[in-house]
Order: sequence, then C-alpha cells, then structure tokens
Amino acid sequence: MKRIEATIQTERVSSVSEAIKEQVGGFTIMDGDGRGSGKRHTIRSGRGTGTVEAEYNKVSTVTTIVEDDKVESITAIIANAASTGKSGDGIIVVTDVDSIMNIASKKSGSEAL
Amino acid sequence: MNSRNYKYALLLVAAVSITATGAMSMAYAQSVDDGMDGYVLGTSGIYTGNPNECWFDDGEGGMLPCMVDTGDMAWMLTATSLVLFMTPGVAFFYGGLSRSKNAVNVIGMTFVIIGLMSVQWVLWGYSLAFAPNADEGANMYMGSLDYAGFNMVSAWAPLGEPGPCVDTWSNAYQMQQFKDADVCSQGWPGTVPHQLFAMFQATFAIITPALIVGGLIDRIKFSALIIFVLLWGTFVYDPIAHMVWGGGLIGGGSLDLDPDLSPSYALDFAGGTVVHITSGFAALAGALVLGRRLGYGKVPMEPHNIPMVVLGASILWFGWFGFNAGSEVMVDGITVSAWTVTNTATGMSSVTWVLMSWAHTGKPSIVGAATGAVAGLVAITPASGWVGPMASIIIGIAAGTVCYACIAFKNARKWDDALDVWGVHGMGGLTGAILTGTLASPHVWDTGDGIGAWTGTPEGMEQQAISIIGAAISVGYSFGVTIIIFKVMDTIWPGGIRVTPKEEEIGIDLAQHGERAYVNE
Repeated sequence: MKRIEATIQTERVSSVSEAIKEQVGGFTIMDGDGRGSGKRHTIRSGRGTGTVEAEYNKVSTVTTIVEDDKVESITAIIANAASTGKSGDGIIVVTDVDSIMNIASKKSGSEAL
Repeated sequence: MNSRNYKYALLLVAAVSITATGAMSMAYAQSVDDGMDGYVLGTSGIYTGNPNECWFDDGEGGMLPCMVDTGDMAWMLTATSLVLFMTPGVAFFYGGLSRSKNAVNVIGMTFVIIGLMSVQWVLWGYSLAFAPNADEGANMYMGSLDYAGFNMVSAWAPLGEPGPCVDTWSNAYQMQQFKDADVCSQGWPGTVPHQLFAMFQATFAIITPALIVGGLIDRIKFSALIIFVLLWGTFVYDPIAHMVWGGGLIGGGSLDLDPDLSPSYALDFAGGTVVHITSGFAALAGALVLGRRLGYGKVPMEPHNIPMVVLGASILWFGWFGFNAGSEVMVDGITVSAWTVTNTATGMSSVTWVLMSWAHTGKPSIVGAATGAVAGLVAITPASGWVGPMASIIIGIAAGTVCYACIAFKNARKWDDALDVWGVHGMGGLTGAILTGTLASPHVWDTGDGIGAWTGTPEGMEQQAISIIGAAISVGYSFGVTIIIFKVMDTIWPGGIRVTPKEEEIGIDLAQHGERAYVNE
C-alpha cells in the first residue's frame, strides 16, 4: 500500500475532491501556508498606499492511501484536477505504508481502506 | 524578576496617590463656606457657591439654579454617550489593523484608557482644563484646582452670569418663549448644567490618549502605558484644552494680531487642535522614542481582521456626530449645520482615498476607505461649526489626499507609527485647522462670526494667520512635551518602557496579559 500526499493550491481542493471521491476509500485535507516556485499574491500595505508580496500562499495537502496497483491512476487524476499549467500548482509525493488499521472495525491491511 | 516587583510598586504608588488626591478634594469640597455644609432650606442644599455658575437668590435666603433647556440636555446626554462610544470604535479599528498576536493588547489598552481618564477627569483633569485661574499669566496655560474632584461643578446650574431669560440668544429662535421673570444664564454653554458640559468634555479627554495607542502598539509595556496616559492627560491634554477652550493662550484672545479686526482667536469648533493634532504628534513622538517593531519592513504585518477595521470606522463615524454636532452644547442651527458638514466631508474623504489607492496601486483598498473616512472626520472636526456644505466637500478631498500622501511619506521614511496616528490624526487635524481659517463662512452663524480667508477680506487674512499660529503652537507643545515624558519614563523605568525582543516575538497578548484573541480549543 502507498500513501499519496498531494500538496496543491487551496482553491483546487474542491475539483480534486470531486475527481477522486469515488475512486478512493477516503482522504484527509490539511490547510496550510507554503511557498515554492509559484507566484505569490500581492497584498495591500500602508492603508492602501502600497503593495507587498505575500510571504506565503494558501496550500492544502490531500492525503489518501491506496493499493499499489491504483497509485498511477490516482496520481494522474489528482494531477489533472489540480493543474492550471502554471508553476505553483503543487507537488505529489508517494511513499510506502508499513501498516494501517481502521479504528472502528479494527481491521488492518486492504480491508481497512 | 526584580523588575516585575518594581512594576507592581509603581502601580501601587499610582493607586495610592490617586486615592489620596480624591480624598483630599472630597475634604476640600466640604470645606467650602457656601457649599454642602451651608444649606439652610429648600433647594439651597444643591448650591455649590461657584461664582462662575448661574445661581440666583430666591428672596428667602435660598439659592436657586438658573433655568435649563430640557431639549438641549436630552441632546447633550445623547451626544456625550455617542462620543464615549467612539473609544471602543477606536479599539476595534486599531484591533483589526494590528496583528492577531497583539489584538487583545491593542483593544485592551484602549479600553483601559476609558477607565483611567474617566477617573483622572473627575479628580483633577477637568479642573486643570476648565477651571478659571485667578492669575492671568498662569491662566494662559493651565486652569486652577478649584474644580478638583468635581467640587463646585453643579449638576443643576449652568455656567454663566444670571440674567433675564428673554435676553438670551436661544430665546430668539425657540418656539416656546420664556416668561419675563425667569432667570437664565447669559453665557455659553448656558442651557445645560455645568456637570453635563464637564462630562461631555470628559469623553474628549478619554478618546484623545486612546488615539495615541496606535503609534505605540506591539512594543510598549502595559504598565508603562498606564502611567504614560495619566502623565500625558495631565501635562499635554489638560493644558492644551485650557489654552483652546478654557480661555487660555489659543482660544482666549491672546493671539489677536490686529485688535481692530473682528477675528481674535483660533477657530476650533470640536477639537481638531485639542484632540487630533495633539494625539497625532504625540503618537509620532512615541513611535520615534520606542523605535521600530521587530521585523518592520521585512515582514508584511497585514491587518489581521479587515471586517473589524470597517466596523470600528463605522462606530467612529456614528459617534462623531456627538463629537461635532454635540460641540455646540445646545440644539440650534449650528448643531444641524455641524451634523451636515461632518457627514459630507467624511463621505467625500472616504471616496477620495479609495480612488487614490485605485489609481496609485491598481486596486481599490477597503482599509483605505475606512481610513479615508476617519481622515475626513478628523479634518472636518475644527471646521464643523464654521463652514458650509460645499466647503466641507473641499475639506473632505483635502483630508483624503493629504493624509494619503503623509502615510506614503511616513512609510518611505520608515517611521514606525504603526497605525498611522500621525498621518491621519496629526496631519488630518492640521489640515482641518488650517482650512478652517481659510473656509470659515460668516453665513453659518446668525452672529456673522467666522470670517475665513476665502472672503478676501482683511478679517479673513487675520483669521487664517491666527489659525496657523494656533495649530503650530499645539504641534510644538504636544510633540515636545510627549518626547520629554517618554524619554524620562524610558530612563527611570526598570528595563525601559519597551517589552523584551522575546516578548515581542511571542506577541504582547500572551507575554503581557496571558490571553489570546483567538482560541481554537
């Protein structure tokens, strides 16, 4: 089993959610601040007399766990849904998962998904 | 930990001295010959023995207060409450502009000032500002202590000389005429009790130090602020209020450049000089003594809650009708005119600021709209009883552009007057004070007073000159004395008046109060 962590722009969360909600057992969204290659927002300063570049952009990390054979299709769906074609769209990380357990049913492995 | 004990000790000393002063003035009040202890019959128990108040002998040995106008009193009680409500407006305006880690402290400092100045005003503030001083020379700068503890400040009798009611100015235009035998005050403010006037002025003494907070936020110790407010109220606000309104240097006729011409004093209807110039330049002095905030110019320091900023500005706008229209201290045509020009100038200034930010930086700023409204309110304050509606539009545009430019200039100079008290109140007040001398119109008062430079007459030129001199005196006095107060405090205060860099990093809310604005648990 693999864990897919997609860090994307916060405003793309709903389209990613729409695209994967039927494909995976579940996912977790965490909001945060981040900066990378993308352009950051311009915000006002000095009571409207000036502007400054924001320190961070709003980003969200969508985390889900899938069977090994679904990794490629799910990453492709997420990448497609989150993409705007500009730098700053985000990044997807895939890592190995040692074990998982469903808290309610106490089942582990693929039955827990 | 030693410095912490010092802090408590200083607070204790302040508390003891305030209580002692109160107790002494209470004793003093009861020692006045014709005062509380001198009553014999009827209503004379309320007789204060104050020769400046309007009392008359009823022929049976009792002293009665002159007639008052219940309509005027109803309006002035409302106006007083409106002005008091402006200070929480300032708290939310400033609170929204600050960062979330300092929001409790910013709102808290403003709120605590309401309490501090409420008590200071009754104990000695009103007396220093408004009690006439028998010594002519001293009276130029400071009142006496005759009214300390509100001694001789009647809740019944108005100020002024007693005389026939039919001779009073307000009798000329009221629907209900007075009876021939009635006794009324011939002075101003003569239709409401002395104590109501004193409490109306209290709300001005409360909001003025609260405005200064904007220049000091994010770095001043709370304990230092409390002592600063008491010192500043006593040595800057009270003398300036006396100079302008208490018959002193600026408002009392000493600046009369040409005695042959009618203008003899600087026009300041509702306190552009007393409230806004003093607080604005004091905030700049404080910001310069304290130094810049950590990270100033490196991190953005965005306003943390813009809805709160707009809410605060709206409360200020609402309360300002009490401030300006209430400053007539009665209800007549001037009150109505002041209401009108206050609203018009504010609207114009707000729109001006939005358009300027739009043209200058590409997007209309809503923080700018709120700030522009405050700038307009500030600038119309000294002019509100003296100019007509079209002149108020000019003042609105001038306030928006001048204050906008001042904030851009301040940012370029890297003065960390964090919430732009100097740019909006100091320079807005100065603009308003100078333009009052320019735009004052003899068509506003039925007495033909208020001749501005626009009339092109020698009277107008003299008025303009007096207005500029009066404003310059308060700029210099406020900036100079505030620098001295801060420098002395910073020297003798254990560890200085600024919080440690670590406390500043954590945020003043947690470091100084142990409280947070937003808790998610």
